[in-house]
Amino acid sequence: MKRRALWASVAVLALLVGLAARGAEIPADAKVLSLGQVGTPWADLKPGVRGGTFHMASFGNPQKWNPITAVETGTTVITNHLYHGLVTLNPRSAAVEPALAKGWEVSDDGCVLTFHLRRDLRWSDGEPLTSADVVFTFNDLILNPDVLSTARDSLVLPNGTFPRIEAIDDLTVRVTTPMPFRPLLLSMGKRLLPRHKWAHTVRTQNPDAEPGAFNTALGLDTAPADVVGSGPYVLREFVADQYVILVRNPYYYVYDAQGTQLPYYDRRVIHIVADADLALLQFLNRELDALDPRASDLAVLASRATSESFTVLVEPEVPMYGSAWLSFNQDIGLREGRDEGKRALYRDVRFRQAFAHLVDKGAMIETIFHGLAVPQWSPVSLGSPFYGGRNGYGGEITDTDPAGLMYDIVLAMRTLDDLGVVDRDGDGWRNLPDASPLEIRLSTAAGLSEYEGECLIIADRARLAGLDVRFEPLETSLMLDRLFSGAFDAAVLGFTGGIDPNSLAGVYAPCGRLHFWHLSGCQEPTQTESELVSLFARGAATLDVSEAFGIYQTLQNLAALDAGLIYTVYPAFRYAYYNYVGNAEMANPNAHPTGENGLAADLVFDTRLVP
Amino acid sequence: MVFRVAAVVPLILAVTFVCFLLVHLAPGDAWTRLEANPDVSRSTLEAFRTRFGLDRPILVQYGLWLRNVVLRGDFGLSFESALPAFDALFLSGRLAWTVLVAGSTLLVALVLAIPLGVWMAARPHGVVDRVGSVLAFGLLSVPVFLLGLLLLWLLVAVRVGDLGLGVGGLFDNRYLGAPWSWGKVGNLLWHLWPVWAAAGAAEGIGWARQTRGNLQDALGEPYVVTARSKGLTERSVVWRHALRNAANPLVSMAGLSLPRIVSGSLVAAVVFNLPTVERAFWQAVQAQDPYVVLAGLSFFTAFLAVGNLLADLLLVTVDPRIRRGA
Repeated sequence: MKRRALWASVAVLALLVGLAARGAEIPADAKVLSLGQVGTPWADLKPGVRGGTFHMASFGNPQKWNPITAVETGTTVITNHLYHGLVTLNPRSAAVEPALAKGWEVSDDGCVLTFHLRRDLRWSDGEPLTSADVVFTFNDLILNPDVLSTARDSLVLPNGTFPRIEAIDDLTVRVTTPMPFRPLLLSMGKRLLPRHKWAHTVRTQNPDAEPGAFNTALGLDTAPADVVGSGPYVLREFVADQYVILVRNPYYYVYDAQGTQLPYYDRRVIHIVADADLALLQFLNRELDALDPRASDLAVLASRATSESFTVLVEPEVPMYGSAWLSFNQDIGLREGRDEGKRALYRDVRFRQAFAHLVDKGAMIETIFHGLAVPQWSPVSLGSPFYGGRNGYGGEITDTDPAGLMYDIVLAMRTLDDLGVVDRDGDGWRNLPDASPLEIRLSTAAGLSEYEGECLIIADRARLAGLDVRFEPLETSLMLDRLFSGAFDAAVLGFTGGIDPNSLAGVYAPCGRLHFWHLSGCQEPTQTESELVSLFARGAATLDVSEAFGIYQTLQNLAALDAGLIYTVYPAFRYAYYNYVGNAEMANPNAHPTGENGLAADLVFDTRLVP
Repeated sequence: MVFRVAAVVPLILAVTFVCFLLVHLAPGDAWTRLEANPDVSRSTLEAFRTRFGLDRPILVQYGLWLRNVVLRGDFGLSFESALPAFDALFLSGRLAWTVLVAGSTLLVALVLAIPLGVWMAARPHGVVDRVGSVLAFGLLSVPVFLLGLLLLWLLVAVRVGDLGLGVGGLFDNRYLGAPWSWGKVGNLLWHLWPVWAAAGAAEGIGWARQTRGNLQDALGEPYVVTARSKGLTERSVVWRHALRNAANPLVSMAGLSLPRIVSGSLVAAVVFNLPTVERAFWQAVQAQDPYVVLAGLSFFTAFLAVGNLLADLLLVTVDPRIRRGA
């Protein structure tokens, strides 16, 4: 009896050992990150251990779980963890690399792109992820006019059409364009959604579906089990105003070279905080493992970094992705049939340029960012190799304001005088040319203290020039709604940026969803708007990056001088993390050029758990 | 009493009507914003327009809104989240947290105020009385938000190892998403004391001062002299005889304090990051989300009206002389 029990124990042990060994096997088609391997972008990263919870902060509740229709970072900071696309950007080198696709081929003429999906991919609910899901996401969602997707604008081809996307077999997707389209590979990295969950919400798949029904899908009332993705994490729990809990996706396709399925952390908790002050206090109280600090927080953080065992990373030389701008609503009062004088003034490029001369970027950099920011003049991110201040594609930054719209209050006042915007009633404020009062209501999202600071400096300098500018911070969602419905006066806000300027096509295309400052341009585009569309098309149509650089340089100058968006300043990369967060030293803007934070979610781990 | 109960209904109606007018007279174009919201389909928009008569006179709109509220529990639509206004306000169990935060603040304030007031009355001009008086003036002068921020900073500055209290929120990190346990309940209470201190301290110390004054008056009454001359212990005289009479005004005060407790909870919820109805309401006000604001105002009106009604009923129970007609 004893011998039988002994043999049974040995058999169970062998089975367990076998299962454990099996757990360390890497599936044949998995994506493997060779951490620590010399000659790879991962050379200076360490393999981690599984376990623990990573805590980070986000401002304001997410609005939905829908990566296709989301526009604000409070949502994308979460959906970025839930969904992946065919390709992604390497967090170290910013080069395009395989994600759900294990590879791709480009035809000799550059017009056919064939993606090969990894075998045995599964959605987080266990269903197979196939080419049908890719075709569904692009054809039925992103390119569907019923769906309000900002991603569609970056897929518009130079001739105004869209790529043809078709499934060749379960694992092969072919993308065909009538002409070369250089940003196509990057544009195909849009995050995928499962066909089996959402096909019923679009008329192309379900004729009984209500038009636009998909836009309301994946709202906050969606059960976490229905939020099915392919990213490193899945949604576990959302408590409004408190937190979002993400747990490891058991079907995630990425492994380290030791055979450990990523991500390393078991859970990721995103604390929803009301403002940056509370986030700072939570970080100092060790409730957050990492923080995107404001420049004004750096003094507090630096003084405690050593004693509290955290690191403050400030990289004045590492330019961020994104932009901050001031914009005037060139359609103000158009719908209501009022504000004709103001509308005419805002549409006058000379007024917008005069106002650009009132944006005191130096004061912003010194007082708001304590010197840790750079002036911005172009829509293209400083981190992009196409940034117009470089001396060539990917070259050094040699010019910080080629457009020449620098702070010059005298020039601004002279231009305003020339435009007839002078004080006609003796009240100390300039009037419109028809002598009616000119009051400018400048808004931004309340609680974003750096934007608020920029507004205050803009308003102050404008008042010095005799313009009656009143600062009115608005709640974030209200601000965004006002912006996108064309119901604002003047606004300061920002965009997250990308590597390729074509990601801005939806901002500058007159019918683009983000072309909020001149919505009527869709029907009657200005000459500059038409030229910009043409330049975007030419830049995207060439496969020669040097030629594209020249085109985009012209585009950036034209966009800057048009001053539809008057760019302000952009902060240097800043990050703070506790020293037990392994691989956190890799934090850089490339990890998430679309915003969020500087850590690659998969690769950080808790060194306290290392045996 | 029936009259008192019945009076609550027209009161709520009157307040909701005024609120409806105020919300609709507020500047801004909420409808344009709703139209621009990608999360709201055309058919939802049209159905909403018809259901709430948005193209009809304001009195008709109010009537339709009231009918939808009474018959269907439909408070309208959140223009921000596209959820029903009621859900937008009470999402994630906010109602329960509001009742817990406001109720516990009221309770803690009362439980601390009465013994303190009795102590101060029984030993006038003693150390506790003097310190209590200074505290009362101080706390009544400090706004809730400032007290909250000072407490927050204190919590970060004075950390005692793992006893360091979470900054805001309801639980420490280790209890987020965890099932309920005694440890989690304890942690919740540990997180609530700064809220009680910020939102209830001023009320509590005010009530203590009130108890002190009432009790001192009562202690000078002839029936107290009689009780003492009968040879009753001082404890019995104070707690069984004098306090029962002195406590009556406190019951009324507790009812009247509800608005201040609710507004204090609102500020505390914002400062301490609590998921209460007050915070959702505050966000709706900032976001100019009219039907959620209206639902919130209706909720607070009903909450305060019922709270005051309960206080009146309690008063009648405590003091039978107050019955109507008696």
